[in-house]
Amino acid sequence: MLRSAAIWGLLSGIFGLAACSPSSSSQSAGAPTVRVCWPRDPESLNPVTLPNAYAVQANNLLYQSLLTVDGPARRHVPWLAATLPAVERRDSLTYLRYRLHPRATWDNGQPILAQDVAFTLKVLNCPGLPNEGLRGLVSFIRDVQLDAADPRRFTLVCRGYAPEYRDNSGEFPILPEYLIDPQGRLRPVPLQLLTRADSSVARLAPIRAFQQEFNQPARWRDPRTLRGSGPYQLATWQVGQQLAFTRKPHWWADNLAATTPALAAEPGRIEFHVIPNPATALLALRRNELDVYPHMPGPDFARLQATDSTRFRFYSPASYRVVVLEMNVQQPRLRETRTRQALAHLIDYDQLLRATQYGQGQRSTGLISPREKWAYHDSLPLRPYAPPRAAALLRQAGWQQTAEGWRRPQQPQPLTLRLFYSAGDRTYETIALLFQQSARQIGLPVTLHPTEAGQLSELRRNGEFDLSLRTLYGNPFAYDLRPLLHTRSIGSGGANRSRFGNAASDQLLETLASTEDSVAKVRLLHRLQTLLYQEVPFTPLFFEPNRLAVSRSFEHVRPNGLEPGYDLPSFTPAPVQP
Amino acid sequence: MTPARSRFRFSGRGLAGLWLLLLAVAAAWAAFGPAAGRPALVDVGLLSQPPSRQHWLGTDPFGRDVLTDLMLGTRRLFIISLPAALLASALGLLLGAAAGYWGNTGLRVRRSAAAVLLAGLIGLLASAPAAAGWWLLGAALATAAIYSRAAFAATVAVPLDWLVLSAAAWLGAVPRLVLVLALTALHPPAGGWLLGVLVFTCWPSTARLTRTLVQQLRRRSYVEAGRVAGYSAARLLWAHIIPNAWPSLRSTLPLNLSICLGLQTTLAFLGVGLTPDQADWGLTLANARLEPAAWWLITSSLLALTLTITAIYQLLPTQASPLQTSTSLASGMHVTKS
Repeated sequence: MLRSAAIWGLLSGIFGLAACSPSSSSQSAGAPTVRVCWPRDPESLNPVTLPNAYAVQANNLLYQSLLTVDGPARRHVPWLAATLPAVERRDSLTYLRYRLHPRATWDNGQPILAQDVAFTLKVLNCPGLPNEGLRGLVSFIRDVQLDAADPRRFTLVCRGYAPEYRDNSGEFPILPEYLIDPQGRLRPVPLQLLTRADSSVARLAPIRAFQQEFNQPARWRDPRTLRGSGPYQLATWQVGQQLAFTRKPHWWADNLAATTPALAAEPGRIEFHVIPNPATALLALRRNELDVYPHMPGPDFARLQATDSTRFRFYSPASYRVVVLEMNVQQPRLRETRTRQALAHLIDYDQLLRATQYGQGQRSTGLISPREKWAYHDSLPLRPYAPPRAAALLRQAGWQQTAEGWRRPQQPQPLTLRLFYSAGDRTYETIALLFQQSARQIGLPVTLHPTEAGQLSELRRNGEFDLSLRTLYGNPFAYDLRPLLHTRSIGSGGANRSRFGNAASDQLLETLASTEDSVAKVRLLHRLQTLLYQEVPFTPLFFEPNRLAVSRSFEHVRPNGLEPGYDLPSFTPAPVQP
Repeated sequence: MTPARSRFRFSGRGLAGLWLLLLAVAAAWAAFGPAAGRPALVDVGLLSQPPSRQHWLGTDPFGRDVLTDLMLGTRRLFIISLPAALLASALGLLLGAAAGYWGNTGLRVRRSAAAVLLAGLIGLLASAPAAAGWWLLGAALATAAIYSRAAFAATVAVPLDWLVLSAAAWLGAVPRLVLVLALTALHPPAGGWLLGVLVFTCWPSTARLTRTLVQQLRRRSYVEAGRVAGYSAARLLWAHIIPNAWPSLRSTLPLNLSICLGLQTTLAFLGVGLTPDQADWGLTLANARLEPAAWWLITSSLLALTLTITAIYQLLPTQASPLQTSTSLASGMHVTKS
């Protein structure tokens, strides 16, 4: 259920005291209610925006893409498509031939057709919409060819070839034209016109009219508009508190779950309770007000395992979530590479792993998990904790240690750094305190700034930070890191918060994305990892496991290392133990 | 009072004084000692350890020594709560004395000056915080200019009593914690702002008490005699009324101190305006949420807080009313029993 192949984002907690109000019993006579803990609000349910992993998870209940990920099997499977696409390479183009599921219909009973796929691609490429993330994901699709004989068949025409095209081509949500563009404003506009980088397109009358309608914020909170071909519909959304989804009484795939597990949708109601404070979340879980608590802090997980193993099942599959210390390379004091390298030596990685992950978790030299042996650059050494080495690097970077601190001859102000992180997150707090203590050892003052998650996102987008702690999540299917590292992704349009990048790194990322040959791809990935290791726009602290606690009232959890780490629609009530 | 109770009272006050002295020593150590400006040492090898010979009060979920953390936390009591209580008491005294002495008709200002001050106040509230100083300066200069001229001499009574009572009633109508949280949301509650917020929310009780006492004392014959003798209002208030009201008023300082301490600790417990490297008893208590089984965290911080508030209450004066005493004043006037 993960369509965020190239979307990397921030996942963090918000400090607060949001309480989990008691709700009705999680088990009804028929389809059960599942209550899940979320540390933050999804911010937006607009299917083309998807600002964080929670928005992606919620959207996967409302909308379907052509393909989805079978988490435990770690492979793509058909979802709205009848089968995986047939791939054909001809000249410099790749043709991906799809057929939509013959029984797939919208909620109004109309069949889902290739025309809807074409409409979706137009929306994702339409200028003036907040679709930057998904537009990057489908940027390799040049055109869509509809089959005159079969309205469910279509062919995606792609530039060049890459092995990831097959999977990436099916990862965007298919949108209902009858709800989003009932006037058919985009119908006469050809997709090829929208995929061109032509600014005059945005001035066309139908485009402007569509933009105006699409960008009304109220639309994307309205359950009547937020409807796709998914099995659930939005019931309530109390911002910062709770989201609830109910199972549609009639869904097109109602009788297909037995033959196609990806089409399972067992719970009658799914509630996401936003509880930023881990202690409050743990209390709510213990008081039977929650059924699922994903990404638990290590100490809470260990304690719950010791005390409540009869009520909960515990899972901790290795995940693709990596905690990094991000550095704003555009800040004058962090512009010098050796300064950033010095900071990377001020983290006691092994102590951190022990204190926050309780022995679980894994160190890495970069963003690629060491479990992905084919792509991981294992020749790079893990950076050690070495304050004397950090001090030496600072001197090499031109800083001189004085009684007032580290300063450069031409700079009157001594070096001080501001470390931002999401307030209330115990892991981040431990990291921040340890880093501050290590920095103090060499006379480098670091001020801590625990910040509310929404405000923190804004600060990061605007580059108003020196250092920040961030959790990035990915998957093993694609290594298109442009949204995270390309200079085009700096600012509100992407996720490049470290503001790292230059012409050479952009070129490397572009080549990596378009390389077909797997050997060449590995070579490029190694080059990229070496570059990031040397330039240190961030230093990876550790890959953390997905610590998941689920009430024993449920089975078919299907825990896995991919976001969100469990298969919520497949949850079924566990048989009552005698 | 029986001798036994008197002894108990004395020993209670002695212990209270001793405890507060210890706090002052701890605060001085935190401010000027070898650990000044440094948070307690983080040791991830000793997360949430119970009390032991090395760590008398155990360690917190970040491996910091709880005793050191509490001692460092006393510094904030002396730089936030104590000044806030002093300032709130002073502000309440000032406003209450003015309201009690002048009432609604006793203070008259030039009509034009009142208009200027009102405009300044509206401008202050409507403009950006950065422009507040300019509004105040402008209003002050305009008022000075008005009073420097003989023209615009028509005066108007300032309903001081009504203004003070209304402000106190408004502040009393909103739960204090809610008000403080709302104000700290407006601005990052760093030292100065937090101090201001505490002063702003804690002055009304002192003002109400002062107003009542001054209203009673201003009708006394020696005050009337002073007025007839041509003493200024300030001299009457400062030299003759306030000293007689003082035995009752001095009880408000410990009360304000305990309120400020409670609010400061509550804000720290809620994580408002503090980072995890700063020491505060409320923050120590809040860390117990991360490790509910760590009883030593809850016990030690709550004990410190309870002992301090109890000690402050022990210092409350025993006299019930200033009007039951007779005080010889520098001016030679005498307060008689009513």
